[in-house]
Amino acid sequence: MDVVATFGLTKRYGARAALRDLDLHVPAGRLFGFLGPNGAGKTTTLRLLLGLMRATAGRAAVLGRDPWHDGPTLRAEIGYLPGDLRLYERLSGRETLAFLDAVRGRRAGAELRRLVERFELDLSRRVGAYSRGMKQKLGLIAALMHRPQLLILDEPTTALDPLVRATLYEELRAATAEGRTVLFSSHTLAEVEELCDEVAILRDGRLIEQERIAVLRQRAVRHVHVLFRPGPPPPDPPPGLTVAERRPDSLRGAWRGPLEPLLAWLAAAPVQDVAIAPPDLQDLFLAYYADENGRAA
Amino acid sequence: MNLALFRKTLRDARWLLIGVPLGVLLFDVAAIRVLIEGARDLEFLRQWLERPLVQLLVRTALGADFAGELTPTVLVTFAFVHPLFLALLYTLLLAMTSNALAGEIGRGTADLLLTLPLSRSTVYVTTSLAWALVAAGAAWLPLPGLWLGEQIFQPASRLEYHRLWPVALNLMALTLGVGGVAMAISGAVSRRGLAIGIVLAGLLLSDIVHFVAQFWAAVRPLRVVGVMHYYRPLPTVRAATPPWGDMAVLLGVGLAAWLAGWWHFRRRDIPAA
Repeated sequence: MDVVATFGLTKRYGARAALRDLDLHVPAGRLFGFLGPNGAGKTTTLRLLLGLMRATAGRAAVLGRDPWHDGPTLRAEIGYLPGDLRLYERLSGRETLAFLDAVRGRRAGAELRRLVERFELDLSRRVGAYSRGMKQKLGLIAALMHRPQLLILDEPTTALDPLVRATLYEELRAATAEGRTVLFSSHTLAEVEELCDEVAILRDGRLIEQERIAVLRQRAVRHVHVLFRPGPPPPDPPPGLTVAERRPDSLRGAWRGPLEPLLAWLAAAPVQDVAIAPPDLQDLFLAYYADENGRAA
Repeated sequence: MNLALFRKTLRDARWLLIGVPLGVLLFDVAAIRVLIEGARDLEFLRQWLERPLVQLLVRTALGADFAGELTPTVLVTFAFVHPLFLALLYTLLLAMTSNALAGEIGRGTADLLLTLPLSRSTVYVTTSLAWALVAAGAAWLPLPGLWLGEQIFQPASRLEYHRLWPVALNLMALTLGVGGVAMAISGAVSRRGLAIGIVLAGLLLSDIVHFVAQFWAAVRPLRVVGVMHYYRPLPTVRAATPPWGDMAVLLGVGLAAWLAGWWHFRRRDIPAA
């Protein structure tokens, strides 16, 4: 079952389309990366899924419900961390969480205490006196404390130090292990590659790819560097090898796809040394990010 | 209605909820003192009040002339329309209404509030209940303030409270009416300053029309758009009964605006801060 499904979801601000015909499907229990450059429409999509905005066209179903019409009951099962988190500066951390828990019906209890301990947050201070990282921790605890079925996190690792980031990753992995779903927006490729099972890539308000990370890895290029022994020239490289630089004694290029043809060619060639790098998703993502003219978005 | 949000709305305004009532009470205590001082030379006061410009101002503010009737209860009506008193009342009202929605959106905390399992209607109604309760209560504050002043200064003649409570009731309708409009504007815009600015500009314009209509016949038909046209303490004190018609207009306009604001707030996009 898809926890999030959108069908031709479109959002316009006057003449400008922030999101165009988005067909997104997030299966249950996934750690789903939502990737795209700034202004690609990620935050607009998340706001539509939360019922903060109404779609110009198309529709969305979150946990099988319409976020615009079924907002309150739906949001009881969603934990959300905004990209630009703003909190009640005059409340303390404890008062903030108590207010949010009270509105949710005081169900957090033990989970709230566990998360506060896990993220090592001092709740006695006023939020206004918190550092950015502490505010982000508070926002994460608020999003996680009611054990939601769907976590929507808009660039959650902003301002987090590596240790807290690792704690967050563990919490998110634990959530998906329990069958809960995480929709994780980011523009950091390495983060999504490390954490997510599946990714959707947005550019200029359009979905340009949705695929499992494992499949993308197969599509990603491997950088190949071959040194040849002196002697007769090697046979022509197989069609899958994009040659970047070729000399009589060496070759640099990029390989895409299964390795067998490449290995067969190397076996037949007078190879002195070879280096084949792991699949590089960075190049793949940058290719997705580039516009029709090849410029990076 | 959500109790946690109701408490938070009141808590957000806690310093104003302490300061404004205190200010109103002190103002009314001072008003009794001024009344006692004025009564020392009633003839001078009578002559001063008969000056044309003063009469115009009295008519504008109180809705009628004193016409030589200078009893303490009649004179104290100025305390119900004094700019300082109205400024205190409007400060409390506008601070609460503008903070409830436009403030949340402008600060970005609406992303937190409106992604909780609360409908927008619940947010609108709950925050409205909080300011409406405060506004309704604040309108009655002059009565204990004046009573306190009497206890402190012991004037020779006492106020007739059975003539003053209808003014407080009329004032309550005024605060609820203005609050309804202010809430609708707060739900329609995304910046607190803008919400306050629109309401203040509207009130100022309405007061200018009301004032000009006192001496310019061509503008007189427009006085019905003036808020103060429906809040006239002097005729109310004389009649000693609430001005039900004026109150119905104030409450009707406030309710209509509030309902329109509710309708709009439920449908609008909430932009990122």
